[in-house]
Amino acid sequence: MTTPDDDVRARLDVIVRRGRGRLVADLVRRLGGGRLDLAEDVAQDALAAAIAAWPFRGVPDNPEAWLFQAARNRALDRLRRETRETAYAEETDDRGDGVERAPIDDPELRLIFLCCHPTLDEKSALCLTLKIVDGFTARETAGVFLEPETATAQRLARAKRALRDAADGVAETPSRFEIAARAPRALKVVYLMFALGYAPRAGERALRRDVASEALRLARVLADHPLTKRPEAAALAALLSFQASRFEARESAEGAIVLLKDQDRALWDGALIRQGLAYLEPARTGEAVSRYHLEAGVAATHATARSFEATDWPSILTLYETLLTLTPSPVAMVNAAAARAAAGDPTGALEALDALSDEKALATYAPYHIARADALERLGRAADAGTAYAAALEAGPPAPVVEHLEGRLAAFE
Amino acid sequence: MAQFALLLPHAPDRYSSATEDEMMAIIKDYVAWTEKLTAEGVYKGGHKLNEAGRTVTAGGAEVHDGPFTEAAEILGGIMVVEARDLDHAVAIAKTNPHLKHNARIEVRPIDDV
Repeated sequence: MTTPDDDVRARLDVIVRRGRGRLVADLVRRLGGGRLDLAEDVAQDALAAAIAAWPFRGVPDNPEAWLFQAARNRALDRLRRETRETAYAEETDDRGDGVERAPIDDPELRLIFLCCHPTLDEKSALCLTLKIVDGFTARETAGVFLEPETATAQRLARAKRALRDAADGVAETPSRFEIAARAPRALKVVYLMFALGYAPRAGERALRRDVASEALRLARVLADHPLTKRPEAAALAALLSFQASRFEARESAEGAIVLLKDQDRALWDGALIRQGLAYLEPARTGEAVSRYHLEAGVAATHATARSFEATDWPSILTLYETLLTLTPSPVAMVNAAAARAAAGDPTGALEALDALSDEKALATYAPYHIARADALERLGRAADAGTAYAAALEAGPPAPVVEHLEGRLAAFE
Repeated sequence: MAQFALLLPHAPDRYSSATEDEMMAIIKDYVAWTEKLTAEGVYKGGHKLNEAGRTVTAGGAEVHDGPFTEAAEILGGIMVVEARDLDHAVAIAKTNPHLKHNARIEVRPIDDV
């Protein structure tokens, strides 16, 4: 049940989350790409001051303008106290001299392209983008990469230094050639951003819809923009549209997670499913098959199935197995095994999962244990399934998943 | 109808170590309250007071930076509401989420000369 308080909280969350990305993007344009650290500090300060004032003054009608003004004041204040030479550019608009300075006009997207700088390795670029554009903490991002929080925190610090050192000769607005070169990484960032919103690993809510919706919006900008319009961008937009169509059905009234097989398919958003199918058309135009194509194929199969039982599981299994040849990650193997169990081969699924038991990263990955528990349950091995559900709980998924698992566990006790 | 000031004090270290998530959870309570009472025409405005301040003593000899660290509590902000009388203003103050997150509220009539 949502109360008016929850609505206020949701509204504030959206303002803060979107505001942070936009503020940093705007400040980077004014301060230069080398002052990402300053831009981030100032944005954080402005946000903190804003939310502390709103209980007394109310949320302003135009919170974005308010935040920009607060950030500008703080940036000027910081620059006055610094000895380093940094200017604050009041005018950043193109000046009609024929030089195309901002070929990407979406502020968040421009920031993503800055963070996807080639001087950074891929993981660092991803961490940095998630941190700066969406305010994800090292703890949250560590979950995505299945690595300890300290490792992610160090990675973030190194990435910011590297970007600062590299930024002297680097424009804060990448050229069209740089955009083309960085586009694959940008797609990956948007994909991960959606994943974080769709299945956050630490925190209270099962679904952070604002984050996932923002990722879907960015995927559509990438799929539609002339500079980034490529089949894999369309495939990503299709994939995220299909996943987003299940938002309503995926969370119960109490905020607990609802598994695919238990979802009320009438709650699926038909408009988003149609949008996904529409993006599949441009996705088919290229030669190469990306992971987004394969995952969009899986999602489309689910989205168009009448029921869980009537789902074309053999097709899904084939798609997952092709995916494994592209990205043989442990997580992809877990998904393939889960599909194998649903396709009627729990024995094969369990074998595949048990073969992964040495993967250290999976020990704390709840879906691995959930997939094992499901296969064991299908095989009628209730006691072993109970043990596997307990291991999933141990792995520390977000609270709503915990509730779901406790329910399943109770069935075996 | 008369106007009353609600003075909202809090412990000096109350918010210094709160995470953004904790702050948001607290702030949403206040914003919901302010918005509701604004819609009802009861809430008339307010100000958050910045913690960075100074105390000036008589004679002007001593000016302290951040006089608040030794204080038991500091004034975090002021809100103004409209009410029939002091009892009514107190009843309004009792619904303020400040009492959920902090210890007390001082309700003072604004002198209307």
